[in-house]
Amino acid sequence: MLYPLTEEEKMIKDIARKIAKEKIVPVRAKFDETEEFPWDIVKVMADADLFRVFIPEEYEGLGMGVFAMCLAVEELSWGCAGIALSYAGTALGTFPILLYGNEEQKKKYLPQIAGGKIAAFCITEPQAGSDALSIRTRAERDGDVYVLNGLKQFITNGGEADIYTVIALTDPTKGIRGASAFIVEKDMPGLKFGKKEKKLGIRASATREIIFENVKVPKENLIAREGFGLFVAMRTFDNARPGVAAQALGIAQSAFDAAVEYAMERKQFGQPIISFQAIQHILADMAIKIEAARSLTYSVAKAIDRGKGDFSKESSIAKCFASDIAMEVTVDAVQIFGGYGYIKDYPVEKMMRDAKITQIYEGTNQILRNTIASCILKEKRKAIGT
Amino acid sequence: MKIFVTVKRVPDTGVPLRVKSDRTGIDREGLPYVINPYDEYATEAALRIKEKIGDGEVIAVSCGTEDSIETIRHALAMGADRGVLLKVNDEITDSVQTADILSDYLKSENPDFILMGKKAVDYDRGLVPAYLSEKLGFPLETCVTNMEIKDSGFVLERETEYGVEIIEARSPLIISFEKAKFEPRFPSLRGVMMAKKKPVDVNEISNLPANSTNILSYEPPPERKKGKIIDLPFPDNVKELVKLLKEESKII
Repeated sequence: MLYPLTEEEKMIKDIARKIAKEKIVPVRAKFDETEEFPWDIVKVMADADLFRVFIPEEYEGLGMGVFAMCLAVEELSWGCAGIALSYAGTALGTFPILLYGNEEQKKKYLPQIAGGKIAAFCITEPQAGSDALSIRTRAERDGDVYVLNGLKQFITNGGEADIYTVIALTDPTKGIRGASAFIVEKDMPGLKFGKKEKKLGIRASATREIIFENVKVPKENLIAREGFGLFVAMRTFDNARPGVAAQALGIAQSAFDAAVEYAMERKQFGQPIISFQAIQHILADMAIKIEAARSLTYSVAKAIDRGKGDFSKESSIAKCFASDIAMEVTVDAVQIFGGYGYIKDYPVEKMMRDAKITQIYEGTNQILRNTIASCILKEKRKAIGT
Repeated sequence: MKIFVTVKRVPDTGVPLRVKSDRTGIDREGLPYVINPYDEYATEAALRIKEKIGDGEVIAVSCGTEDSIETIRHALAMGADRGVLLKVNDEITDSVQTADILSDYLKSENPDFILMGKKAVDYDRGLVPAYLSEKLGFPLETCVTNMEIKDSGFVLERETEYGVEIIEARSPLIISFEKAKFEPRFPSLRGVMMAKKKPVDVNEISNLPANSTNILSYEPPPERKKGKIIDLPFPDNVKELVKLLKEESKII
C-alpha cells in the first residue's frame, strides 16, 4: 500500500467515504442547483464525530491533527466539494483558536465546534483580496470591549457559522502590523450578513458578506495579543492549505473515477472508448497527477502534525500543485465524457466548476508562487549568510 | 431492561454473488461483508428504546463464525453495550439450527425484547424469528416498519396491502424489522473507538443441534436473454411488439 494509515486514520477515511457515498452523492446535483446550505449533511458529519477529528482530546475532540482532517476533507470532497467546504471552512475558522487561543477561549469554543457548530475565518475585504495587508476593518478598544466596524467579503460559511475568527486593525497607524485576531459570535449585536454570492462552483457552500456595525466584542475574545493578527492569519493559512489541497484531490479523484467508469461503458466505433490509446493516455496522465498530488499533500500534512515551525513554503506548494492538477484533471474528465460531459446529467461538469475555486481561495496560486519564491530567496540568503 | 438484538454477517448487498463451480455454495473469495441491513434497523430500534427509557442494556448477539465479531462491533459502534458471539466453526445454513442455538442462549438470559431483522439478505429465508418465537414461547410481531415508545407500552406499525396496522405491544416480545421508516445511525468515530473496548463474550457451540434441512446444490440464476429492438416505423412497430408479446414471450 502506497500510503499506510493507522487504524484510526483508516476509520476516518472510511466514515467520510461512507457519508460521501450514501449521503452526499445522491443529493449533490440538487444542492448545486438550489444553492441551499446542507445542514442535514453537516449534522450527519457531526454525529459521525468528524468535527472532533482536528480538535484536541482535552476539548472533546479526537486530537488527530491536520493529516486526519485532510483525509476527511478528501473523502467528503470526493462526494461534493461544496458540501465538504462546510467542514473544511470550519477547520480554517478554528485554526486561530487552536493555534493561538488561550485556555479559556479553547475551553469555551473548541467543544462547541467538536460537537458540530461550524466556524468561519474572516480576513478578505472588498479591496483586500490578494493584497490582504490592506484590510480596513477596525477594532477600537473601549473599556472591556473592542468595537468592530467594517466589511468582510467572500466569507465561507458566512451567515451559517456560529463562530467567526476575524482579523481587524487595532492600530491603523501601524498598518497590518496593527492587526489583531478576534473571536466573534453570531448573535453579537451589530453583526450582520450581506448578500449570499451566486457562484460558478461549490454552490452548496454559503459565501456571504459580513458587516460589522459597532459589534462589541469582549476583550477576552482577543486571540494572542494586539498586533499579532497578521501572524495568526499566516499560521492559520499554513495549517489550512493542505486542507484545500485535499479538497482539490478529492475532486480530482472523483472526476478520474467517473471518467474511467464512463470510458469503459461508452462504446464508439464498436468498442468501449477505453480501448483507444488516445483515451488511455489521458487517463494515465490524470492518474500520474493525482498520485503525485496525494503524495505531496499527505507528506506536508504529516510534517505539520509532526513539528512546529514554518510550513509556508511546503503548504503553499501542496495547495498550488493539487489545485492546478484538479483543474487539469477535471477538464480532461469532461473531455473524455465528450458532449455528455458538458451537460448536467453527468457529474463531471460540476467537478470542473468546483475545481476552479481551489486555485483561487486561501491565496491565489499566483500569490502562493510569490510566497514560495520569497521562501526560496530567504533560504538561499540564509545559506550564503547575507 | 434487557434488549437483545440479533445481527448477522452477510455479503455486501452491492456485490454480485457467484455460485462456486462445483455448486456447493457461494464463492466467498474476496467478498466484502456487512451487517445484515434489516439487523441495522433492529439495532437502531433497540438503541431508541434504551434512549427513550433512559435505562437498560442493549446486547448484540450473533450466531456465526469468528468473523462475525466484526458485525457485533458494528452494532457496538452504533451504541450497543456489549456483544455475544455464539461461535460455530462453519457457516450455518439451517434456520432451525440457528434458532436452536439462539434460544438455548437466550432462554437463560431473561430478555425483555428480542429485536431482529425480518430476514438475512444472504439466504433470504426469514424463518429464524418465527422459530425463535416458538422455541422461547414469546409473541412475535413480524415485518415492523415503525416503532413508538409510549408510557403504556410500545406502538408498532406494520405496512400491509390494505393499510398500516397499528399494534400495541408489551414485553416480552420478539420484533422483526422490515426496512423501517427511521434511518439507522452511522457509527461515529468515538463510537467505533469505544466499540473496541466494549466486551464481547464468545460462547463456543461445541455440540451443534440437529439440522432440519440439507442444501443439495446451488444453481446460478439463468443468464438474462438479450433484448430485442424493433426497428420499424409506427404503427408497424406496435403491431410487431404485440405479436412478439403474444407469441414469443406469451405475456399477453
